[in-house]
Amino acid sequence: MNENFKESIIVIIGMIALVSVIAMRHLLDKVTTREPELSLLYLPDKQLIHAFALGDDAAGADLLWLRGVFYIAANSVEEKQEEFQHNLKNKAHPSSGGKREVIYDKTDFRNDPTFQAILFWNLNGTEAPLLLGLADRVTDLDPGFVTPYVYAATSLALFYGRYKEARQIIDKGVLNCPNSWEPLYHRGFLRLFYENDKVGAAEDIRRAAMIPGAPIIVVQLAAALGIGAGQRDVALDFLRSLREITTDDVLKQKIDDMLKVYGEGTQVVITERKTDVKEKLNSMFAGDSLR
Amino acid sequence: MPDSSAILVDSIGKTYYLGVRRRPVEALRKVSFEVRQGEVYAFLGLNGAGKTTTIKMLLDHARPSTGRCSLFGIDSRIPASRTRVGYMPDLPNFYRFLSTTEQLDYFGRLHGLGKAERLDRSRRLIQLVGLQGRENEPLKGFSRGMLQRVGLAQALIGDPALLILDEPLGGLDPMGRFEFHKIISDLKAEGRTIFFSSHILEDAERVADRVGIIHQGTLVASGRMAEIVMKESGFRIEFRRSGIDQPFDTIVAAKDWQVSYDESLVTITVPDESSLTLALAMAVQANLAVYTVTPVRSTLEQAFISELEKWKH
Amino acid sequence: MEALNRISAVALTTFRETIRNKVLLHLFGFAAAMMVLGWVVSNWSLGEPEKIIADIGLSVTTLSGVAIALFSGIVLVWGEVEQKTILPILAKPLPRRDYVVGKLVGFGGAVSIVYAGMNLLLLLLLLVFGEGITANILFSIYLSWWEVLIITALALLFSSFSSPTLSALYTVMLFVAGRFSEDIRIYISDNPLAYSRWILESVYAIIPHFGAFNIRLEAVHNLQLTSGRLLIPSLYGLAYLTVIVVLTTIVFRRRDLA
Repeated sequence: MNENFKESIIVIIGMIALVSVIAMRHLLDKVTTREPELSLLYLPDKQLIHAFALGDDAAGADLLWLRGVFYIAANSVEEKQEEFQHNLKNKAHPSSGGKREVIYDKTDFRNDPTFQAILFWNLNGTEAPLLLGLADRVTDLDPGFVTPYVYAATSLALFYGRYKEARQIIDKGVLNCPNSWEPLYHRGFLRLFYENDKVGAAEDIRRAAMIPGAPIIVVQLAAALGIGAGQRDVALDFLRSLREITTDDVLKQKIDDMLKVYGEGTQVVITERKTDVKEKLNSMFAGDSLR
Repeated sequence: MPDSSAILVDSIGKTYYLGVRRRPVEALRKVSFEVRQGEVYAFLGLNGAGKTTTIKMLLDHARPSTGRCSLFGIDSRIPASRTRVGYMPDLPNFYRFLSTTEQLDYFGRLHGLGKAERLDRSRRLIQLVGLQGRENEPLKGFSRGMLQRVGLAQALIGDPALLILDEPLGGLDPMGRFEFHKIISDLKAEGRTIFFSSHILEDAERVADRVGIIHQGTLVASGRMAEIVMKESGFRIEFRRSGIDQPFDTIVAAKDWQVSYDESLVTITVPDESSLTLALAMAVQANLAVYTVTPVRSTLEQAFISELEKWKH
Repeated sequence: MEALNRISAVALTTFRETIRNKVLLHLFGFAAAMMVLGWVVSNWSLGEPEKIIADIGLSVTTLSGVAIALFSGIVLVWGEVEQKTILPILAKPLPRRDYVVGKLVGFGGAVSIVYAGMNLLLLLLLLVFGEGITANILFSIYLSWWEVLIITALALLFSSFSSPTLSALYTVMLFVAGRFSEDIRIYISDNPLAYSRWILESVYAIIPHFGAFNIRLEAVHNLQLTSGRLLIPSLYGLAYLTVIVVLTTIVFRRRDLA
């Protein structure tokens, strides 16, 4: 066999190998994709992150958070949208098996089946137990990192119905981030929606409104609560404000759906009371300066 | 210490400790010699004999384990001893990303030269070593021979009274070697002292005034070139043959001198002056006619090998 | 005065030689790529992307500065001895201590230039995609620069007597230990056993306290900083550098250039 022929054979073999490499990548993707549960199965503790980040806790917290967000997105709420829409339409609490059920006192707005469907609807995902742990670890490393508190609290409550855990993490956020309006705002939301604690909610929203950088809608919400609007109206105001504040598209979509169903025919409280708001704000915040 | 000494080496020894077990290796053993100002001293030896190690002691690149050396009367451990010294290492190497001009400027600054003086000297030296036109190129593209030229230029930047050159001609082509010889001769004519190491004896023969031979860390010979070479010489005496060879034969055999015969002459080689005197006396006694007496000069190479052989035994 | 001239000659030459070496450019490129990646992933955090850019950016510039100092520094003196470029230099009337100081100034200058370049890129990212540039961010960059300088000096110290592999090992060990200095301090106070406490305290005294130069958390959350928080680590950095330079001078003075 002459040299040229041998070389040609080698080149041909090489090209076949190259084509195989390119062709096989989809197959590789299929066999190597892990089940979402497996990829964040182990939540590393604070010391380990501290070690891996060589003492750079803030960067370590960021990387752990990003990793966690990827994990949760992989098991996304979007997959369960159909189920959610169905429950919303039927205005049924999922645990009731589609039937209407009175859960709370008649005066409690949470008795409204739509709200029930929304507030206490459980996603049957394995990521839920990890969410609190993830947010907790990340915020241990970087207590000033607001997003984990807020996202965890909102998700745990609104997507997974795990109010106690949500309250746990948001309380930590309020304590560690005194200069941020967000944890206070979200705790107010939780207090109103899940505990029917209007006074507590009003206090949290008021404090949130006082913090520099709080968006005007929070201030307006504080006013609305202070004015003593009807619970339903307040709840709507709250939902609208949450829709404006959140950057989570999935949550935005959910609130839109809720408002579509629930808000039909309802007066838009905040815009109606525009002229009263300024006076009421001044009387509400008498002695404090609105920044 | 004599005022006229450029280099004075006094019983220096150097022991290295090698390996995990720190096995002692004697690189130099009680080496002593002197290099006078204005002379060219060739420091000869085989590879690994201790030439470079000795030079390291002179320049404080390494410290002797015993003994001392000095340059112009200043202990070589003191940096000021090198103020009037220029050094060119064996296979010189320089920063790859700097140009010749930048290198010379750098070395000039280390000698404390002002900017104008550095510029002027650099220009002249670049001319001297034949690097015109390439002085602004980074050195990483330079050949061995060109680096050697840069090496010489930087050695001369401080206008040194003493030049220490380690294997200066290694790696040069015949033209380069010729040019180098010329430069050394010129430098010598300027009154500079030159100390160079080499294993190329021919080069030493051409320029050196004095020679030192080092072997396995020991200085086996040191002195004027003529003396060293003469040591291995002798005399050749030619006698006209008169038919009376026998008594002479006996004497020659007893003295273990070399003898050869041809039709008309008997040639005897005696090793030294005293043997010459004896041989002539015997010839007179035997009524032999001396035809010629010729001193026999061995080459430096022969002398070199002879010294090494002697040392072995 | 003459010593200053000699030191500046060594420094300038070292600076030129280091900067012209393309390795630094590649390392800079790598750091820049990491920062851009940081900006990309920040958008996935569901909130506070500017914090992620700042956190990761500050971390990357510091670690890259350390990496550059480490990879270039461990061969600095060793390479010159191996390639014999040091021989004609030390054959001049140049005291070895001037050589060492000049080397540190020149090499440190080159590393600082690259470090500054990386941070300029970071500041640009923060201006365009982040929350802008605050004084705290600048202070954080300044204090981290001391950390980079100390690693530079350590790499140079080890390079003056050790091979690149060992130099890298020692320098990395000290870097990691220094980053965990705070943890060592906590461990000491918790540790009841006397003999190990003594060992740990000795270790704690010797290792560089890199925690003191880390105000990245304060920078990112724009927390208040006292002047002492900036001044004392700077003085500590200066003192530590001085110790390393003196050590290097002593070690190198006695070294045979075999």
